[in-house]
Amino acid sequence: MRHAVCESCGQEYPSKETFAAFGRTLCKPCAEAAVNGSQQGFNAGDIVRNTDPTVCEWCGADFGDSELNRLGNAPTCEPCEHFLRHRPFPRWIKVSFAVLVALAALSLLKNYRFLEARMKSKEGQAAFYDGDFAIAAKRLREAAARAPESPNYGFQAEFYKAVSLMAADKPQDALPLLVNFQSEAPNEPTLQRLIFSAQLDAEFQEYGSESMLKMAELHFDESPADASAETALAWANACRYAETGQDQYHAAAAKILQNGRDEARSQHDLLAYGPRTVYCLKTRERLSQSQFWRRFSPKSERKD
Amino acid sequence: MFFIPGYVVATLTFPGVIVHEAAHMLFCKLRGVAVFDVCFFRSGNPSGYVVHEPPKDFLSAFLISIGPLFVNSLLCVFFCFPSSFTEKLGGRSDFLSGFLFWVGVSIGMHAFPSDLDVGNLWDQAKVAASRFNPLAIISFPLIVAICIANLLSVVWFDYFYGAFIGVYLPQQLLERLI
Repeated sequence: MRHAVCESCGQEYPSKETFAAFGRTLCKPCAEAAVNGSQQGFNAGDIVRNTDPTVCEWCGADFGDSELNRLGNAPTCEPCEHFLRHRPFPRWIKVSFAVLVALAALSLLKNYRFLEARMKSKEGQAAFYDGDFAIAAKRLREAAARAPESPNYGFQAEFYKAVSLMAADKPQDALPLLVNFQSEAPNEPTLQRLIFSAQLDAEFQEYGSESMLKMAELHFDESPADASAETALAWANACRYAETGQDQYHAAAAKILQNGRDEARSQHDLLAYGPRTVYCLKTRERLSQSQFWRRFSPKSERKD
Repeated sequence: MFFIPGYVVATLTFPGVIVHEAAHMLFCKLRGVAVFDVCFFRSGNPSGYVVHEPPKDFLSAFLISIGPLFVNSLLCVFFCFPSSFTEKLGGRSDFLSGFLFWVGVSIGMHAFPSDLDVGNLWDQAKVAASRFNPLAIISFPLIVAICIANLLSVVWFDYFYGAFIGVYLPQQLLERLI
């Protein structure tokens, strides 16, 4: 440790306890007196505490006559330098961070079922677009079971069930389900088309193809701009042709198909009316959607 | 838009202040720069600080100054993700995800280095750029962008940044992936 003599009182102090004040080396009491007696005040840098190059500024360890390396102008021993260069984070920071990470993991685990529900829903949608309406309804029911708070899954499951009933040629069973959705989605065009399709098929099953055709014609007259009404009319003509064998119905259906708008196909072919109409005109056999897909391997054909 | 004093914002979003200072300290540790003093949070201006020795090279100066932008942004996404997950997939929110959302957005809000941080970096970038340091040259636009972001914090840009990277990005990511 090095010592310095106060230029005011003449006493010896450890260098660390002295100050360079107004160009003189002073002890603490003399430095304070100088500050208090100063007429002009003082500026930053006028008073600086002296350091002892043999005493560590951080831990106060005395290294005798050996001068220490300076770190940021402060004499620093090796252990202190190592500590300052690798200063650990406080424990409360580490613990808080660990708790937050654990909470994030807990939140993900707790809500993982929503991911499962979404995946099931995606599988259901894929099955729906592949024409596997029963599988689609099942997947959506599984999704709804995993996330009962999300009403959409339950809604979709019921919707897919209704479509699967229509595909199985059970329009009377599908109709009440579809009508129920009207309150949820009153202006949804796909729903309106499905309801009309179910009514049309129900009409066929109850009163035969003649009544069904009249219904389709009436609907087409009311909405001539609706491409789906055109497709339904073609299907009704084909059904009438299947029942009677009269060429006029064949010709009417074929004409509609020939002039048919692509729009009709894309919007209304959920139940494969287009290919079923073509098949019916060729064979006079009226197939339900599920019968049609079963017979003609729908997935591979659809992918083509 | 309405004005809220900085210390109120800092208090309400204190996790972000803590992470901001921790990010500075982390890069000091990684670059072997001695840290003399650190305050992770206090009521006052600045609400936190790290006092360290002058970095020996520009890369260290760059990483220490810009560190919070990387660390805070990353942790903002990390902590907001469970919240976005629940919100996006479950269509709902609960207390835990709400809490994590607050933590995440608070952290994201403090991602931008302070004016003091970028001021120091600017001075060092000028010296390093005169020696044709490529990082220093490309850091100028980033520094300017950060300064603009800091200016825009009066119109809550920092909050919108936190919400954008913490909420919008994870939701878009989930939308694309699932």
